[in-house]
Amino acid sequence: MSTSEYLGVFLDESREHLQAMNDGLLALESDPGSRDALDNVFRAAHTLKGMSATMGFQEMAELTHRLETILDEFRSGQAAPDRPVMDLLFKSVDRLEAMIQAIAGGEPEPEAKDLLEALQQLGQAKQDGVPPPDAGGAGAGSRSGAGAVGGAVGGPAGSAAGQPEQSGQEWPGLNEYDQAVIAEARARGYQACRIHIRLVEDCLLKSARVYLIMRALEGLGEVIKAVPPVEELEEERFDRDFELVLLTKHPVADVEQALDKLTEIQRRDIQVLQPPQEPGAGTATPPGAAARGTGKPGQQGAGAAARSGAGAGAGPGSPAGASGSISGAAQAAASEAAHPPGPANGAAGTHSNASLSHARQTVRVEIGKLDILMNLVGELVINRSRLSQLTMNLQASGVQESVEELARITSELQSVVMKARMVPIDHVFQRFPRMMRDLSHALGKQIDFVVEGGDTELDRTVVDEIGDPLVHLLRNAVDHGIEPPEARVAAGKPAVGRVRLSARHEGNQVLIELSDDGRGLDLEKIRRRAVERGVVSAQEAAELTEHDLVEMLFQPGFSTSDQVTDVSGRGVGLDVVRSKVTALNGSVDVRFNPGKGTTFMIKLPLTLAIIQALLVGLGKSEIYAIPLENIDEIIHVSEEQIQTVRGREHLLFRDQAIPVIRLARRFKTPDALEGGGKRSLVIVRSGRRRVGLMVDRLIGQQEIVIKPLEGVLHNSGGFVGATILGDGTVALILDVLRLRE
Amino acid sequence: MAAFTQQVVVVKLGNEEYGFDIGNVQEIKEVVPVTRVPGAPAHILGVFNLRGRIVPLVDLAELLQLRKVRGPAGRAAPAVTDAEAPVAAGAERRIVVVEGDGHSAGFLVDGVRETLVFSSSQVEWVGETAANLGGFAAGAAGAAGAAAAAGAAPGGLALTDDAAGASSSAGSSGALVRGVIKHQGRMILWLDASLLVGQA
Repeated sequence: MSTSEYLGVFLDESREHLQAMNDGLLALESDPGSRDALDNVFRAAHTLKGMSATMGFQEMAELTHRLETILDEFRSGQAAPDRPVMDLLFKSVDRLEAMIQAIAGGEPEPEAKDLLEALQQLGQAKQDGVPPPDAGGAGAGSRSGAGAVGGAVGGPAGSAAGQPEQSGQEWPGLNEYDQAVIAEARARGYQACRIHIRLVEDCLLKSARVYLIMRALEGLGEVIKAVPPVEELEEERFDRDFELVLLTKHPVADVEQALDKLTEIQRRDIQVLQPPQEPGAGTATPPGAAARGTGKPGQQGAGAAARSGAGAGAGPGSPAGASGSISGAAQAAASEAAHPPGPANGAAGTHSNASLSHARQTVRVEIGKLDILMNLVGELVINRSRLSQLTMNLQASGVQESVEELARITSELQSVVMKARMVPIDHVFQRFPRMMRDLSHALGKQIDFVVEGGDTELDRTVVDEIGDPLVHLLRNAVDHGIEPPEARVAAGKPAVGRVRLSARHEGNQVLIELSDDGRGLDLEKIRRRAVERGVVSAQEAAELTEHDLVEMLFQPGFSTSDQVTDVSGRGVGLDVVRSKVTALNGSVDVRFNPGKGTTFMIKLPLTLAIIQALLVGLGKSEIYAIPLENIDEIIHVSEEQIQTVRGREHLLFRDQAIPVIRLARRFKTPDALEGGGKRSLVIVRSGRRRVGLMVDRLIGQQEIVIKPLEGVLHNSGGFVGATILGDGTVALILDVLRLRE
Repeated sequence: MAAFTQQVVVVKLGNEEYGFDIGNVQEIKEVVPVTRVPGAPAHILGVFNLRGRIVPLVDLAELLQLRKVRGPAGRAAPAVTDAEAPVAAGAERRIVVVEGDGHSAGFLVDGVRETLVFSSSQVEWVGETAANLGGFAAGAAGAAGAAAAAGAAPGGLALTDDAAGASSSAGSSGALVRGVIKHQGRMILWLDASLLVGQA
């Protein structure tokens, strides 16, 4: 097994753990006493350490190890998470992020010497006389990396480093968290079963078998842990054996029965886990589990057991730990002999820690594959319509029914594939709390940042694009919106400003709202600035309405900030926000209340791939699609109403002169309809202008799947893409925003 | 250049023969209706639906500037009006879907003849001896040898018929043709499939 195979998994998971660290540190900062937050950060750091050491990224392993040491001092009360320490921790997380970035880009790991030294100094200042973290570093590195080896030798780790490892020993492979879950479940009358499954040798669809087993068990209770983790089971990254921990109220016999109904299981061992002894109670042998665990195959378990064993061995503090370590190490060695631990061990084993609370069954899929799937489903839908048209007049019995059935299935398939492309907007939101913390520190403002609706789902492509605009708006809110604490108090507001970011579904759209309780927009200031910039004359400025003034904000290069700060006020911002959102077929609106706050509302389509469109006909046979999003209304006019203004055709519509484009003429459509009579005019919004598009026929409104034009036609202008109509032919989709008069 | 053998799909364009590297040919389709794209370059007839993908259809004759060989290209269902090859090729007309650089394009040809294996010794490269071949000379190796073209390429190559047209197009069409495959007295122009797709 080469480590490169696992690089992708490593990077993905590292990012997740870094996110967890960021989240945890933020929580810790707001509530320094939070044990949960501390545990979360610690777990993430510990996992990262193991993963990076396994993958051979030394600098990263070293840094995470130092972090772990500091965090552990928090846990033991030897250090407190005060501001300088927290800053250092945040900086370290940033460096780790940079490392991941570099590794992903194939560059060498950036150094972290400065941080390592700072962290070490911190450690030394806090606890004199304790062995320098270096020694612990070596021990810890080998523990998580090589597992059993470190355990057998018993690295000279400091007592602090050894401690967290102990906890796993009561049930090998189960960490503190698992045990907490089990203890809690037990209190509610559940019992925990460790189930060991061995599939028959020639089992073909192992992942399907796993699925059936999981389903059978989930009918009885909740599977809280899988070794190897569910992801690996689904990808068939195991041999024949795996273990599950099931919380159930049913007797063991029921579980046995459920499993025995399934085929291709060669062996199943079910063992009820007994309540763990209190840590430090001095039990020499972990109850039942350890003994049974000896035969426990599966690399994952081996890795975890080895780690826990090693940790205990290193910790000189408790005799119980020492004896536990012997069985742990022996057992690790035993299973290691059977299954040489792969490099993914560290990475995968810990992944389950993060997600085991409700063992979600997920598979990572490349977005490109989903695109292809979507394409094919689209084709299926088209062929289905064709088929139902063809069979319309067929008398043969059963044909109609089966075509209808086909129609139902394809519709369902289509919606499932659509959903598969959806991701929660948390993908973007989750990085903001950290950013807001840094911003408020940098600007000396106090901010309570609230995020709501992070689980709102929308298309992956939209999620990827919406991050930057939101960053702009959040920065604006902190920099321009929220006043400094003194000013807020003077204005009778709480010193701590509030910024709220929320997302929710609204019909076929997602509404993202970003509000602050700051000073709101200063219209007079915008008016003054507009004159200063020479955008309008003083006289014109006086006549600008509120709406006009707000619109000014969205003009390129327009900023009301008096001074340029690091954060914003450079005059790039709202115009970029609007153009980005518009490019996503969305819209931005502002509501404000002078002195009370500002709210930005961003409306986005759920997906970029499917839109509502009006189909129009030109000439005898050409069909084009106009996105409904861009259409204001459709009117009928007679030729006489169209007049030329400076040689260009215009129509006076509701007292507004709007340019008229004869599409058939523009597109040089053969056999276009000419001559008098009533003509259909589609009024579209193109940026801030309105334009009337003259078409020969109105065909109707339809949901269409947007497909890109490839090659030289891509970006050739005029069309955003094309779609395939019910009869299999292609219709081009007008790029209304880029229409030229 | 080291010796090699290669396989091409031989297609007809008027009375000339052209070869696409078989590795680049995705499929050969009957002619389907295309949707015209207003404002597109002249050699792009439009786009069509290839199993859910929107693929451009290229008028190969137009791209190679063979107006003299093939009449002015009609749209959607172009008709052959070539006086030198009066055989109406309508029924044999096909779309060759070619892949290169990650995307595909369809090329309208007057017919598909065969697949042919040839060796490097059968090739006259553009820029070497084939520099003498009419219009390709300008694009590949300067116009010096153009005068000798008639002798080197008797009969089949109509490229020299329209000297002005050929030389003006030579810059692009010359580069699109790698060389001439000489096979049992026939001359097959060997196309650079990736470059061709890049034109679509």
